[in-house]
Amino acid sequence: MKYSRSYSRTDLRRTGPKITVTISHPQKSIAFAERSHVQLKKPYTVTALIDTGAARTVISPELASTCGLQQTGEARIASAGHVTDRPEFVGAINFPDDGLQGFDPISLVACPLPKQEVACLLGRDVLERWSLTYDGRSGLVEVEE
Amino acid sequence: MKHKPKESLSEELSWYESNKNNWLESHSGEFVLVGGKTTVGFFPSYEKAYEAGLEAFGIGTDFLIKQVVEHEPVFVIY
Repeated sequence: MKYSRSYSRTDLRRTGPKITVTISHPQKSIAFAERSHVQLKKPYTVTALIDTGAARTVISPELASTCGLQQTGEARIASAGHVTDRPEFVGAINFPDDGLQGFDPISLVACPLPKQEVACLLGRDVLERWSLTYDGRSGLVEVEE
Repeated sequence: MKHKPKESLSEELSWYESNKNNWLESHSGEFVLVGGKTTVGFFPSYEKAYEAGLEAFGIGTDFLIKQVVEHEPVFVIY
């Protein structure tokens, strides 16, 4: 599967390559909840930034809370000159508009994303499964699985 | 659903720290699954540990999955 999107050079420089993602509980948690007659919070669709500068995939704490994700640990994150321990949640990422294969389950780190227009950074733990082409001259961004 | 989060998995993280040196000898690189002060087991991947945690604790209780490593990694977010 191949994802391809053209941006204006200005938009690409200003905001970076974005993609629509849906954050949810992993399928196995959803199946477990159905068997147990437990109601889980619904998936939530947001804009994510494809971020080669992020070692891990990050979501905002508000998004983790909105989706009611289950915490499975803590991760030490260095960002903006600070090192802090941030909660890790188990979740799933799907790409509803682009047909790319989802990541289920995946460990997501909750970290504030101030002054960003996105609620999710797709980090190198996701990118290690993709071939990413960023053509700043033409504004074309492509992902190949 | 009624979710019962613990205080940032503090009990599980303390349990991990107190056992880490022993686990490094025989489970280095594996993923340990801990709930409270109970070590459920060691798994080759995060995914396998999550499946085991789901079976052991369900979805109403947080549980710790942690890779057994000597030095905790620091993940940089630029």
